[in-house]
Amino acid sequence: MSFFDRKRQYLVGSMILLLLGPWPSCAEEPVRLTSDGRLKATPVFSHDGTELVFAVLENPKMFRLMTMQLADRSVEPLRKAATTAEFEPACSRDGRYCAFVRQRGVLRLSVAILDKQTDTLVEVLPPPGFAGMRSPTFSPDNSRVLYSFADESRQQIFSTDLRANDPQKLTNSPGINNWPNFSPDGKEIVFGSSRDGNFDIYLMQCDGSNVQRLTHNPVQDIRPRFSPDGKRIVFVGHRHGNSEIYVMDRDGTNLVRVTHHPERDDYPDWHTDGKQLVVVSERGGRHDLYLVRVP
Amino acid sequence: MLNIGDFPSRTCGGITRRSFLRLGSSLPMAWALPGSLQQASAAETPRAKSVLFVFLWGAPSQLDTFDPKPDAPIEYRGPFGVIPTRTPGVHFTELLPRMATRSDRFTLVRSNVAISSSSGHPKGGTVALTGFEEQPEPVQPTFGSIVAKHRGQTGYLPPFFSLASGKLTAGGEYIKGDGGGKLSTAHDPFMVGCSQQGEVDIPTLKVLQGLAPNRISDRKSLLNRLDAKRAQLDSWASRQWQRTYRSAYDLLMNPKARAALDPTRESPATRARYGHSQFGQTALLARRLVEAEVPYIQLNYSRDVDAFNPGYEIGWDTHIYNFELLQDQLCPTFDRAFTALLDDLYDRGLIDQTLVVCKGEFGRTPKINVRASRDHWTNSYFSIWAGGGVEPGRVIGETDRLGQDPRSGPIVTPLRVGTTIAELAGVDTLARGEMRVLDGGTVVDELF
Repeated sequence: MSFFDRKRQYLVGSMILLLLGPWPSCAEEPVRLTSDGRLKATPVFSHDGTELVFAVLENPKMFRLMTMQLADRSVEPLRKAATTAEFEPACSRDGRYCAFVRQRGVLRLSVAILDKQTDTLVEVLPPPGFAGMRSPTFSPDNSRVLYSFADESRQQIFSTDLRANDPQKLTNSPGINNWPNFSPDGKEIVFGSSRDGNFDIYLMQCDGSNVQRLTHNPVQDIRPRFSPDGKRIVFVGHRHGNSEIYVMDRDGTNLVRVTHHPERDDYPDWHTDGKQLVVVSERGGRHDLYLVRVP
Repeated sequence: MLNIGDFPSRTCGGITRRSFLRLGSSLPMAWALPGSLQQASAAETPRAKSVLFVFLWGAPSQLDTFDPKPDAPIEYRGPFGVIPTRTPGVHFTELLPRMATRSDRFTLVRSNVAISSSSGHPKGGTVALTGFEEQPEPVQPTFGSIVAKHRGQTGYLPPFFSLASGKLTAGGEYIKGDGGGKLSTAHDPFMVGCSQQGEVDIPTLKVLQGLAPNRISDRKSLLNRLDAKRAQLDSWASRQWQRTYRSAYDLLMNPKARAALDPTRESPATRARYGHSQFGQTALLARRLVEAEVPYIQLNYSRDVDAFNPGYEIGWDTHIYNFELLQDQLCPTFDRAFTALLDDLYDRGLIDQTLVVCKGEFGRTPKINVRASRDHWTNSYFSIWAGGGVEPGRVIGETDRLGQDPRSGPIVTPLRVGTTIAELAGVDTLARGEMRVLDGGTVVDELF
């Protein structure tokens, strides 16, 4: 993707956000995007910031992926034909692919990679028995997908190409490794890990080498994501007693708390302009999508 | 199951939603039959007017919730931090912040033990709900059926509700021990489901599709339509049908009954406190049934055990991604709804006359499995007790450093759980002996 393509994406996305209104006059006031209150999870912006893809608990038996056009906030299923749960979406930067977790049977999950141009689906299938993959995310050059997979009593981060071939294990540590996310330049991966006890945020090179621990917190820090300029990382933490959103510099310094509410704030993703986040916030016992400005 | 339609839950003065009712052969009869086999025990005043049994179906991990082992090796401890509770020296995992701040309102038992030969869900469910294994037959009655038989119907509602959108299943297989068992199906629970919007679903009843609200009070037309369906049944089913119809009709015609079954009548603030989840709104429905003095309410989270099983509700059986499921969905939903329920019972002065018991059918393996998750574990798990004379703010029983086995305190078996419940609900030793139930069970005296 050229520099001008990226610039155009940024401008289009920013214009849509301005049109969303009522844009908060107070920077701290979030903008509510949905109002049905159903349980939602893992919203992600499309490559150009014009669309959101997220999972909603459609009924007690089924998570379904939905897309929202930010211009008019219209919502429709990503895949109307889906008959089993689909969740944890990821969008490629060229807008062509969407990856997600797909329920394949009793306690079986695959990572599906949807080519929206050809409407074809390939899957990273689990081995026989209870097994599954979680948390897919694309590399910035749209060539590979990262995911988390549990084996040998540990949960590691793997990489595969878009044809679900060539799986490579990137971590090899005790505990749970999950929520991988590439830096915009594709050189580093930020992720959550319990290798040192409870969940904290870690950084490694894209080949899995040179792991650095970024947070040291006795309660969990999870779901990290790089900002579009690669300078900051948003994550979810429990350090103030419940689930809140935080931002820090890419080296773990300059921690800033983004949300302040006794109810749950979770699942942040950066807008392409790097100034807003979409989050799932529980307010009055209802779960909705909100746009939150980053301090 | 015979589908005979639907109807709105309010017939006049404002119809706000539609309830879906089904009439079927599984509908319990005893609670609504005039002069039936009920044994009213009006002379007794049970300590617990109502028992609220919260069943965490699928079996939550004890280490990742109420019995954390932060100093255990990484292959045991799990990834969660621990937080202090209001009870000095007691910690829960960080997934239960609201429960932690209310630990003075309940007592936690960490030394529950299931029956090791029943580590599968259907059999384990039977043990958890009856105190006995499925074999030898006949299957023993569930605790609620014992209480229901003893107490009978004292008000306008059945004496035993099980709150789920149908019989509990494990991958489509039913629990044998969730009903009257050897006491007969007459003492099965009356099943009621509730959606996250608070819409009530009564799977054992169905009324005619398209039945207009004003026709609910038109007994003759309703009778005609029901009779048309009855004619399609054989003679045994027809007799059942007649009784079922009367029961259902009486229930539906009673405004108090309809009101008790309608959580949307609560204020928005109250509904919000429970959370707009299926479990949250069902917990609110349970509290309304406590207010209506229903003797036994089984609040199920959820109808099905498997966390990921196409076509089934998401339960606590987390053989894969235990940690993600607990932190993303199961614990936040439970933490909010259960604490709202406790608060409500306290605030409304209901806690002293209500016994709340919360548990699964067993625990989960302290050692993390090959899939970095946790499997079934019968050697130790937890239960939560509140109200009904239970002294709150304590932890009873202690497990070893890995959370594998109790090392001190009482061994609390499902039979002892059931016996304690029955005793507090007024089913004393004599009554249990007459019914020939809970044989050999003893009360967990340490709770009081």
